[in-house]
Amino acid sequence: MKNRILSLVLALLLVLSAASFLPAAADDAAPELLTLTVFGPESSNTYVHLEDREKYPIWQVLMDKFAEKGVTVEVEVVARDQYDVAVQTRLASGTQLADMMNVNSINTNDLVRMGQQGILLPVNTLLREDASAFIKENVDFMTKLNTCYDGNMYWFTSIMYGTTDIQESSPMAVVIRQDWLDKLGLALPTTIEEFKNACLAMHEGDVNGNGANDEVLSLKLSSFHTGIAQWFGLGADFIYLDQATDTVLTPWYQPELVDYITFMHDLVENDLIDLTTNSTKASENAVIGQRTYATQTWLEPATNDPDAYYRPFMIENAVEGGNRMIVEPSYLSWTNFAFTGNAEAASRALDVFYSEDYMKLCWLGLEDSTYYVDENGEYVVYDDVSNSYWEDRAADGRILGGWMWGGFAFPQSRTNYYVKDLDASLAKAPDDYKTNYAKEVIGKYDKISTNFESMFYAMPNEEQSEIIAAHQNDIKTYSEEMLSALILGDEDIENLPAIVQQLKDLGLDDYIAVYQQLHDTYLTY
Amino acid sequence: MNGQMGNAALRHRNRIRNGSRVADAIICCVSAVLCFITLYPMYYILVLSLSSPQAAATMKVYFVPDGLYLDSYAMLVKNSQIWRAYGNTLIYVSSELVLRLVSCLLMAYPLTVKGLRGRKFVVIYLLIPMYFGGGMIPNYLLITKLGMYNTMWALIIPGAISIWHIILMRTYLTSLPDSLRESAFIDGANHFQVLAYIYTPVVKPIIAVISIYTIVGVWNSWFSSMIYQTNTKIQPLQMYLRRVLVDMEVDISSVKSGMTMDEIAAAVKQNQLAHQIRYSMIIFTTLPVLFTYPFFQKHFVKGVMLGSLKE
Repeated sequence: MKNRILSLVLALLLVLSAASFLPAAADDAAPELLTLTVFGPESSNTYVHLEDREKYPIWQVLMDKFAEKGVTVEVEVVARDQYDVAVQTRLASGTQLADMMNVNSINTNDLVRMGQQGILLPVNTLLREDASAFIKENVDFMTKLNTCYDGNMYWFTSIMYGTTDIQESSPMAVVIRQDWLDKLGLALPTTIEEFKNACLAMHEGDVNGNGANDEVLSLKLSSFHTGIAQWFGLGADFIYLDQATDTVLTPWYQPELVDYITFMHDLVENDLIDLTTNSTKASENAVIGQRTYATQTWLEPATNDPDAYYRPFMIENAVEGGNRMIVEPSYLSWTNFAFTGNAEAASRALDVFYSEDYMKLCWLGLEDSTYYVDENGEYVVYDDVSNSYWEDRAADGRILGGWMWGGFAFPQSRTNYYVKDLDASLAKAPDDYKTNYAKEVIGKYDKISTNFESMFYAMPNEEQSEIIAAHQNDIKTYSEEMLSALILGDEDIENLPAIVQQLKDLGLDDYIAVYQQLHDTYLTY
Repeated sequence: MNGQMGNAALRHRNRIRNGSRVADAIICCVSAVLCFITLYPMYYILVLSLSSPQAAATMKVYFVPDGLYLDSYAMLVKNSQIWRAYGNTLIYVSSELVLRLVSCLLMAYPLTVKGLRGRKFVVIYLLIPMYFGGGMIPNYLLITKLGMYNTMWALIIPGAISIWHIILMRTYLTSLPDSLRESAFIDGANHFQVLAYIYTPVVKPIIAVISIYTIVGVWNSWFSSMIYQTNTKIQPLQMYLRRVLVDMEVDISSVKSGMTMDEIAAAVKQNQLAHQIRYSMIIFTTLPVLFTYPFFQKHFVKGVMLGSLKE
């Protein structure tokens, strides 16, 4: 009897001790599930909406990725037009804050202030081994560009990770109506005089045949980003970075500015530039040319003319030292997101966002559904996805993640590393001429001005921020007003020295000096 | 004597001759110009909404529609989101109208009772927030703390009381003779009965004025929804209209992203249609308010003229 009781007690103890081990085993298998609330704007895609996310298989795969890290995501989506007001009101009042928010509409000075007040979590303290390793290996520039002077990074961003190789960047160019040149028997202009004469011939010859001399160039006169300004060797903004010398400069100090203004004024005097706001010239089939991406394919359909063809071109040596081209880099950091709380869940979410799997979901979608791996090991998006109607893909659910959430509720993640054969990839582009032109010219011009200049400056410190804030609007506004006035003839070109002096009085030199410091800091990274 | 002559001369100088054709012509011309300036923008939008999408895109149609194109209206009628927003607006208009009229009557009547203690204090208490608001963030905090954020109540409750309309109602009630109320008291009525059976029937003109102000105001409002409602399913019509007009967020036409020339040409036409839909939508959303006016006009004129004559 005693033995039986002893056996029972021992058996009971054995069962209890085994049971006590079970929860521990479960804990090792899956971490405690945490909920991360997310607040973001609706997708800009016409057909694929975050509101409908549950119907897309790719959303479930993304949720599974979060679940693997022990995170459940609850998303609140707001219409895009309303989002900026909503997020600003919530942050200003400190209520209704989600753990993670798209804060792209808040300026970085305010974000730094909120970070220092403890409203935003420092992202650098949340990065764990997985995300840190991925960032270090692929998108090191993201942390460098967004770490502020106190050593913290209060937001994280969408990323495009490519190389700094200029061959993989997107050039911009002036485009001209090739079909109208052909119609008039004109060759592609090679000098600025030929360009002006070609425009005059189109304008005065009523080349669109609507009975009015309404053919014009579509250019923003208040901006240096006209493409034509770059023929004259000018930078693309009121300050710009000369990448050849790593020097921050301003077009206002360049002697070529006089030639540019004189040439543009001549075009205005001959009614060759569209001066209307909210222009409808494109839909009236009246735009001779403009500055755009060299490889664009969207201008032609907007003309309503089936023969329309905008050809990118460059006029070399308009002045000595000219020949500059605006180029977008192939690696980008854009659209800011921030965490306001729930640090552990935030930390786990970063592991998801900065991973190769997440990039594939954003950029390629689901394997064997939207993309496949070919015999060379290259990732290929199926033709009926990359070259199809969004409407149809929204209907059958075969979408890329980036269409639905990239840069809206979650960061976008893209790369061109997977394009192993660049030539083969470019051959698939819809317009061979434009593509070849882009390939040909991109390395040709040794002095490069770039769009997205923020990619080459470090975050300003408090003092630098104050100088920027004190001068930026005044200088920018005055620069735009005076450039327009000079080109239109409202200001005499003889007054140029006085205008430049006024810009100096507004703090242009201090402003340039700050950006030079920021670029110098950037170079030390 | 001199004074009499002076008055006669003054009268002569200020005299407006009845039936002067020149004066009539000038007044008619000025009125016509004012009418044109007022009505033409609306007419222009109507013309654009009826013109072909290509003509509407150029905005160079001025007086007669270029072609007759009703497809954009057909697309609007088929759009379920518009009808939902329409329904929401009708709920907001009707509920705010009822609540505001009731609150106006109930709050204005006591303020007309002579001898009521603290009456002046209450009037001043009402006037201060009429002139000075708390600001957007305090209001936002109030709405969120009351649990009304992202609900229909966020628009209905704050709009239920309008101090300006209470003052209007009070002014009208004050103009009624005291004998009306006193005779009712002699017949044994209490204050509630006086308000319900004696005063309410005779304040129709001011009710019409407040009604039309409320209907137009609520119909055209969108900012409160912008701040307090992120759920598009409860947003009013003007938020939807704003989205289409200002941000082109909602592309009602089915613009596709095809790459062949035929498909692109079709897409461009659809895009132009999307622009034209904006004009059609302005007309579509304005019509109910335009139709509302005639029903209130008789009382409205009388109510607005309130207090303009002293006899």
